[in-house]
Amino acid sequence: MKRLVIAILMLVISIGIGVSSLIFVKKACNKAIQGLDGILQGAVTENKDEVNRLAVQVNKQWEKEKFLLNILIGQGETNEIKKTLDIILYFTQIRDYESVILFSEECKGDLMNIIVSNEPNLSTIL
Amino acid sequence: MVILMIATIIRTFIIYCVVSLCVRLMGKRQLGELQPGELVITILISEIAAIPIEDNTVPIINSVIPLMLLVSFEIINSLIDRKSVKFRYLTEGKPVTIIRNGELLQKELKALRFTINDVLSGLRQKDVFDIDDVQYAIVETNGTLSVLLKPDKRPATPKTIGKTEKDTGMPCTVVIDGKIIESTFRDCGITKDEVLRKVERETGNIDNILLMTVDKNKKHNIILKKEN
Repeated sequence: MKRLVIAILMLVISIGIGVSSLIFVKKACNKAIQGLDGILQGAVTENKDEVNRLAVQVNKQWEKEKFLLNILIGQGETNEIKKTLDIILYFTQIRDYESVILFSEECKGDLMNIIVSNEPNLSTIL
Repeated sequence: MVILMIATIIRTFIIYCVVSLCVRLMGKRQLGELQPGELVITILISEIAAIPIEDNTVPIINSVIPLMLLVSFEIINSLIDRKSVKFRYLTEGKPVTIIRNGELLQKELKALRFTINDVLSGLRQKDVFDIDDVQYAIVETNGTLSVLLKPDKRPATPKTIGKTEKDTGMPCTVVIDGKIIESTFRDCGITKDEVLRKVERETGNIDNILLMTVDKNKKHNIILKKEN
């Protein structure tokens, strides 16, 4: 009986970790995409304060969530995004908005890719 | 490079703890005789556990979750096995008789894909060298061969020769490396005081004892530590 309880507990914990990690990754990526959308809008209108504020904010937010994201999706992808966000921040500071737009689009693409690859659908499972 | 090595050490330790816990949870049966399902689980566990140790970029959780799932499936499977005979036959199969009254059942051998050499080798491992001596030989679900000899070929026991032997029970280990093992006292019907009295009489100091056993008739055996 004790073993059955442990087995069910492990089953529930595994499923819980699996589902909550999916939700967490999706939420973190969506938040970053929202920030990048704001950066893109600001870059188009060349609103330097807004672009600067959002670039710092997205960077900080990603840094905060990096630990869990590293555990859930691996260091490779997380570090790749962080590198691109650092580049965006750099171009924001030197006001090279063309490069900001280019790298923001690229970063958005990477984030979308993470969301899609973590989407629970039959083709991903199989 | 140093960080990578430290990460590998920590990851290996975590995986070691998880796998040890998993094997412990699956129970003692797992270590002794593997049923087909248990063999699959054991192979899978070793494969899954090796991945994050070999590759630092793979998140450790990708291994821990499948390990936890496999163990829970195995425990649930074995519990259903205990409750349902039909389910047990489905997952483990049935024992198959391959020799009956000295006669080799070739149809069963063919179904098991056993060769005659497999049978002879299995019999030899049971100290049987003639098929004709065997009353029953059964291939168990874990692949081992159980053999029952014909009555006239079975080894003599005190009962068959009309003798009675005094029951000494199983010798219980009461002292290991100078430490008293109280959990075994009930099995051999002895008390701590009796053990200490025996120790006092025989050696004087319990620290000198490597192993002490006592049987049901309170007969003891002491092995002393040897100084190198």
